Amino acid sequence: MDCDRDELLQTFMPEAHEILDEIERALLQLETGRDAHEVLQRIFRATHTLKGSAGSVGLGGLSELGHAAEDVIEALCRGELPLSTPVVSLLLETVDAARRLVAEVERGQAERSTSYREVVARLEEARRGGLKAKEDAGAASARRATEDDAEGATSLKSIRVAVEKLDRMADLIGELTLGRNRIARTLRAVRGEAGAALRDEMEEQDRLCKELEEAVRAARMVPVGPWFRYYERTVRDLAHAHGRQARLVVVHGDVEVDTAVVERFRDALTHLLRNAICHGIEPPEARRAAGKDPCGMITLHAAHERGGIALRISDDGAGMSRERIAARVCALGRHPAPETLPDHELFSLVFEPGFSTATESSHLAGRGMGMDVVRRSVESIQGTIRIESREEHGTSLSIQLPLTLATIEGLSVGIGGERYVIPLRAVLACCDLPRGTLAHGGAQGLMIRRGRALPCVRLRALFGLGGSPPPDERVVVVAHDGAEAGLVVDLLDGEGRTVVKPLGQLFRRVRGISGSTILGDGSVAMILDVDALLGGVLGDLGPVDAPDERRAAPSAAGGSPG
Amino acid sequence: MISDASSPVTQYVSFIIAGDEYAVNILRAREIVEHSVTSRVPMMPACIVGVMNLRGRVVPVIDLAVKLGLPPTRVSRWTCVLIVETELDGENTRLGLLIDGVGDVLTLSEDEIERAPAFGAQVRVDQLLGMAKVGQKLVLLLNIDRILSPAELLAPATPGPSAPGAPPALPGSHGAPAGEGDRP
Repeated sequence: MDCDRDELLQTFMPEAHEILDEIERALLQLETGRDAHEVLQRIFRATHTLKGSAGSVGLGGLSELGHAAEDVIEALCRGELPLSTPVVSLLLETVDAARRLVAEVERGQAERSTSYREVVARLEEARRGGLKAKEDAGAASARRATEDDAEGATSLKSIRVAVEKLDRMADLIGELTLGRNRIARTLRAVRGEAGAALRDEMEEQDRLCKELEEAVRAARMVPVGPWFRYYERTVRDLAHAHGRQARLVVVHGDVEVDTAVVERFRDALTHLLRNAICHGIEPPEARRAAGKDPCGMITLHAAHERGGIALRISDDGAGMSRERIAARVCALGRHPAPETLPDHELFSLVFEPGFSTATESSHLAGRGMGMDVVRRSVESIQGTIRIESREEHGTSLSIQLPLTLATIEGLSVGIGGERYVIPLRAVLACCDLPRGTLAHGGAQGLMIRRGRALPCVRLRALFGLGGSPPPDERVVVVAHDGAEAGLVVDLLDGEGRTVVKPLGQLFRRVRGISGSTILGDGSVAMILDVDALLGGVLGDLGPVDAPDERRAAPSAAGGSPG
Repeated sequence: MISDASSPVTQYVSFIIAGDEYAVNILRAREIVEHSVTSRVPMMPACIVGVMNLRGRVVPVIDLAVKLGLPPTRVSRWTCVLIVETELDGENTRLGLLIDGVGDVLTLSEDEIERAPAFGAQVRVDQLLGMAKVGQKLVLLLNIDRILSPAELLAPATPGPSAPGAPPALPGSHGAPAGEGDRP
């Protein structure tokens, strides 16, 4: 008999998760005020289903909770109870209590806790019209919103796998590839029929291995939709806790992304949303006075772009004030004349460490609270972040993240005996270095490409590899900051997907290198971080006090052949 | 093998660098592997030779000879890499040390280990656990957590044997905060 019940529970659990997610989403939709009646009906039906199923598998607590909630929802439908924020909050708390019960059953503890009874009591009280806004409700929901992030993971019909296990699989596949390459080399020497047969077999193995690699890669990908939708609740609860009104609009277009990216960007995203609410969205009265909807809107937008994912987090709040940020920059002595900087450069200064302290940032119009932490975490997963803002109109953060941290599409290049991999998403074209260009052997210079000057960096010199370059060098044209630049290398090795190996703590601060990879012959190649690499070079050419010898380099190359 | 029962014994594995014998706690030594191709990591001090592929794992390789102010190790048929485990910024990390040869496993009791003299040795006193006399030789016991700390390894070392006219370190790698903000 127990066996039967276990089986029933097995099918009930995922269903319960899905229903609870659906109820939560509908409750949030209720607050937008549209189709309230229809949405209430939906909530009622879902609650009823949950109650019935819970009763049938013998989960009394969940059933009781469902029953109490059903009564309240029914009263709301009939109009006997007014639809108010406290009621919705209470129903959301009911969802939480139900989730806790489900989680306990999943852990095999069969409804041990009794905390749900308190929720049932309050639901009954609400049904009688005696709902009092619990004083600490706001605080509680805010706490839940910030602390329970980890539980927001999706509950689709799937199992959870530790990311380390997937990492291990990717590692093993990498080793498998290396082993196969060695066998293939040996096989080439095998003559006769047997050799041919073995080589055919090997080809089939190759195909399977590639498919396996792709499958493991795909297993790491999760849709961003559920991840983002989880924040609808966070935003609502946080806004209420701070006396604001805000809702989150999610536009995700079925974008999928590596779990590792999600894990490592989660904190930063929470931080950015909290910033948008605390520093972006104005209090309802101020918004009304400014002629805006009292309920602020935060948009979370995801799209595939340049082989990665582009996130945009924008709010229609107060925006950042140039004057105040400039004043703060001056006070910190970060820049001699911040007023003269263009918007994006001025605003990007908020990413500097220690730009604002917690107490001052709330007086300052802008954000800046821990924005350096956000930038660091974005950069640690090879992403970039950019801020745009218009005072009175809101702020928008554009974040570019890689789809996966496990593998990249890269162009392998050689310089002397060393190999480097340039991420393909940065590569625009390849060409030969015109003879005579950069003839001085220095690190930087200009070449003519399609009638235009292209700034070039010779990696051999930049990396201090020594030796003299071959007579014919190649140029990899890369995109950098909206412009083009050339990386001068000895030879091009071909492109392919490679498994990224982290370089570890020792090399954490190496600028221009984002990781490493193991090539087909077993040797290690550095993966270049083009933006950081060129950012360093260009930063040096800017108005910053740079040593003179380096400033002289570009002019020395002026005489490139026409 | 057990000496005096009075003081506890610890095992060390010893190795040769530039003719001198050094040792590390055996619990920190993971394995000794053949020297294989290393790839250079740009803009690193000379003591960091590069990285090697240790069965799919990318491991930094350190030339302690350079760190000790000696000429760089010349790779020969006997050159090996001693893989040690140390903690870098709270993360367990494997590092490879270039060694000219493997010594012995030494079992030393505490009273066999002497404090290193303040000068005379190639290694700074704070980077040593002590030294021991084994037969007629002196073996320096390295404190690898110290000598292999990032601060120590990445310290701007004595100007390495860089080629004349060698380029500067990557510009902008230190300071120049204004250039950092405007990335796409």
